[in-house]
Amino acid sequence: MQLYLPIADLAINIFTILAMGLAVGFISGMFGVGGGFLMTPFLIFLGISPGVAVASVASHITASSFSGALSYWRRRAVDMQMVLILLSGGLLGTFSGVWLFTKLRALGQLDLMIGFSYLIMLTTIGGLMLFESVRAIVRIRQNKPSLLRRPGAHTWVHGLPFKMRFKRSKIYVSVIPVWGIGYFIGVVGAVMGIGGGFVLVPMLIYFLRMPTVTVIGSAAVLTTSTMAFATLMHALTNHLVDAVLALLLMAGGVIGAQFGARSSQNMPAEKLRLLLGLLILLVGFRFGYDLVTRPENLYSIRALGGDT
Amino acid sequence: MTLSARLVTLFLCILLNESARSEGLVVTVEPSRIAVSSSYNSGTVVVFGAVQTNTPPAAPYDVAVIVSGPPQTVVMQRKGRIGGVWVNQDSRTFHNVPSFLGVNTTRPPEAIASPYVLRRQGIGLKFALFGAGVPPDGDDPYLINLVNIRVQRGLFNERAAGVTFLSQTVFRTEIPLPDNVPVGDYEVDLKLFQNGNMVGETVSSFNVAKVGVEEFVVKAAINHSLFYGLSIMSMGLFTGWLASVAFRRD
Repeated sequence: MQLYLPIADLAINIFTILAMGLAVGFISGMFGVGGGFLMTPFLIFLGISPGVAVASVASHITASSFSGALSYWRRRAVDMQMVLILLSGGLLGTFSGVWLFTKLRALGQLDLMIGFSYLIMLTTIGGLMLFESVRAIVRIRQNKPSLLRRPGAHTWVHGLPFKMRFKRSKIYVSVIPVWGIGYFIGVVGAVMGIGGGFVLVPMLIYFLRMPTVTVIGSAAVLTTSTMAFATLMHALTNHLVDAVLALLLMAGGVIGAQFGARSSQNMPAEKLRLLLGLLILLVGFRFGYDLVTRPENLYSIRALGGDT
Repeated sequence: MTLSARLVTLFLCILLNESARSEGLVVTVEPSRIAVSSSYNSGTVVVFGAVQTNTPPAAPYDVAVIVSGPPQTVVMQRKGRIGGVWVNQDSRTFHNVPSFLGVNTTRPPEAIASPYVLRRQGIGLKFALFGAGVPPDGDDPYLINLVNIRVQRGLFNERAAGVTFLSQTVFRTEIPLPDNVPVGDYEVDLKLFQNGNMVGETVSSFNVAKVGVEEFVVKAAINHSLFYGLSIMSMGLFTGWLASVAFRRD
């Protein structure tokens, strides 16, 4: 059944979009990520312009991360103090990101920047995740105890000034890196159309030594806030959020996420990380491949005043 | 003014009048309005026309129907390789490019009139773009690719046997509109040929508009963007909340 998307300006099969929402939702529920890094490229592949894809996926991630955030909130696994500081950076980052997005679109280099950001981000994170999970699996096979986070381990980050005590997470760190991580996630989310959960969680663990109890819940709350703000900003500046597309993605996404979350419960954490790492790496390579291979047509059209 | 000069003027007038002899054309465009609603995925515009003439035609007529969508400024970008990566390198801007272009003719354009006439009258996809400031040779790679990409997307199409004569003077043609049809006012330009000369022309129009939910969404997104953004944001939060309640396990 074809459905005409009012802002994307094309008719699309409603079941394709719903199935995609379900599939990406399944993966997002399984790994506890937003799934924007899969959804945005999929939509672009279907012929939806990158602008509309990025802007509409922001609203989809708002829905999926909010449903996650609520369940973590009920379990009191959210460090609100941490979230608020991350958010102050995140909102400013989203603002800069949407501004950058608008500028790049005007310059005609948006596709290149999206491609490059995806390549760098996904291969780095995917590679690290893969490396770390393989090491963990090898250690388990050899019957060695898994590497636990040593409470006293400090990085250079802990030497920074303006320290603050985060009670719920039981850590004492400077607000500078917290704010910086928030800002970075905000920019990246707005430009790439991703929630950034798969980047945020490793960053919080690695740089801030945040405990696993609070890290995922806090990340979900932050992602909800930045993506909700990004939706609003994209709607205000570029008028590219497609309500019909957004609704379809949300519907498929939240349902898929529930099944994904159930199916992952019996799987060991390091195997999940290995799978997610592989998936992220694969999508990253795909972007790299597109950047270096000769495009089928060297020419492309951009209509001014219309959609890209 | 001498008598001979007057004679020459008179003669010239007759000559010019003769060459500009115009056949009357009546035409209807159906429908006059294409509604793009949520179920829209393609459309068709039918053009009926009749040549008004008192005497039976001495030679068969040829008709060219040129349908053009709202004009836009288009930037054509060409990718080049920089450090192993394909980057948009050069660009060329074309103004007044029709967002949709359909050229239907009774026969292949070359058979209807001389290349000079075709070019002047804008018959054929490339020639129809002359208003866009395209150089006369017409083999500019930017232009060729512009036409090719638009043809692939169904936004430009050319049909050499797209116009059929139902009788000696009555003709009919269909113009297919794709799913990504641009909205706005469309111009339908009909040109009548006989023996390689243009003998008549008339212009009509139709309109493509989003209706219903589609119209509402687009208007809201552009005119009330704050309200629109806030609604979608709340819709996202509501969907998320609904899912967390519906599938609650704790």
